[in-house]
Amino acid sequence: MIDKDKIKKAKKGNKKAFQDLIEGEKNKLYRMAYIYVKNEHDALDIVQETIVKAFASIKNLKEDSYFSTWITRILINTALDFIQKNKKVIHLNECNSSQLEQINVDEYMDLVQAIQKLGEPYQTVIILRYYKDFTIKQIAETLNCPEGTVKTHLHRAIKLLKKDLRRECL
Amino acid sequence: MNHFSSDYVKKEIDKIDVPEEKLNIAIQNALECSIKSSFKKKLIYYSCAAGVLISLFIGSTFISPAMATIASKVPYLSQFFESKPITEIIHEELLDKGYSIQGIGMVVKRKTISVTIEGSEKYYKDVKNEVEKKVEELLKSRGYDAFKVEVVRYIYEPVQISEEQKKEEELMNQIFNELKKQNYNVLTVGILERPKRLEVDVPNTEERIEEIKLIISDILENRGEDSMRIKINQIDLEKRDRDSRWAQITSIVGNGLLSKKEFKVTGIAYSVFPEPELNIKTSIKSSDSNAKEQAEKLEKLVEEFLKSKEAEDLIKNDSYIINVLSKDKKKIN
Repeated sequence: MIDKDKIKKAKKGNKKAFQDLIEGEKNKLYRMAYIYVKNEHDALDIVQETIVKAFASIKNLKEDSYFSTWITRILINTALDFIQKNKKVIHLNECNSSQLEQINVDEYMDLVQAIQKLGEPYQTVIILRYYKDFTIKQIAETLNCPEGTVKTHLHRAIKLLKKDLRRECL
Repeated sequence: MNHFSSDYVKKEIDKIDVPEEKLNIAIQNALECSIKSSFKKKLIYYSCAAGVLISLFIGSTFISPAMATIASKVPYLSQFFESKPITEIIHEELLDKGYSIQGIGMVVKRKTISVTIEGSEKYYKDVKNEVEKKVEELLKSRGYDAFKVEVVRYIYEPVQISEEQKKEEELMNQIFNELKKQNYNVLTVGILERPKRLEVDVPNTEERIEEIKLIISDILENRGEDSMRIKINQIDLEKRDRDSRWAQITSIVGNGLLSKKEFKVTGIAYSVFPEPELNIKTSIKSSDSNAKEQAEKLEKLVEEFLKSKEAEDLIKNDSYIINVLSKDKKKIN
């Protein structure tokens, strides 16, 4: 599944190989970024910055089979940085009425919007655990916090999500 | 209900629309900026800023048949010296025709002129093709045959300044003004993140570093920002001047060489340390029988320009090296 040969080449600075690797990840990267910033423009910026960072540091990638995990980490950290710097984009506890209406219209957005509403650190643990299948350990490493904390966050995030979704179902 | 199986989450998140074309452009841009990371840092800046730099410094040429004969007597690249940048010409022409244009950019690596349209989706769709055609004509009439045209839509998003940013700006201004008032020679004051630190650039002729630090730390303390570290950079102005001169030279030469397909030039970079060096990257294969010949032709073009009267002020007395690189990055001149 993972092309070790390509990773090897990319590590030596081969742009084409790196680009091929990105090709398989790009949509997921974009979608994750989108969840954080809720708009196309910033999401694209985050993906772009992630790739610049990734290409500059791919030679440090240790386990070749973890390309996807590794670049996801870079993206998450880039997105979190971005939010830090542009605090305007997070509205943690705001329950915007127009947003709720929209939820009813675009049914499929339910879960995504509920995740967006979670804020930090809950949305990150949900994305990593359920969208990217990270282990608890990997999440802990990514966010630089103890595994116990990750479990607590995850637990609480699920509880919040369930509550939100149930309300919207009514 | 099990909402939280990872299949469900994946399915839902994967429904987020991906703007594929824009995503690809973003990736391309990222790789273009990265690609020179093996060179010195300066070059990365140049490559990322190339579009901007080029439109700032250089002119393109107006080549009419009559001009062409005259042009053959002056160094080819000198044509790119005086007149307006091509991006500016396009901008003016489009505004003149009444289009709502946000900006014109030149993406060197992809050899693309990018036109950004401001307005509704509908307006964009209506004028996209006309604008594209117009720009293509303009390029053609001015002898550019190496550039593609791309028309994209600009979506306005107001940038809000946070309280923190405002505070930082005040702080930087205060420091700058205070130092100026006390007659210290400061070039710039900046705040950098992670770890948060204050950096001040001074010319290397300014020797009162400790005094400057003291003044700054007083101000920081007064504002309750005493955790911020202070770093003073002593800048060699002569080196900086040389750097900026060679940046200009590079963009002139770059614009000239990139405009024509026949030159097979894909990029150009410079470094000034230990001595000025221009690297001209081409798609010429080093195994081609006439590779050397083509490379020497390029070198001669550049040499002619660098020795010309127009370039005198930019070169000053610097000696320099010109490298023509093949597709596989071998020096072929």
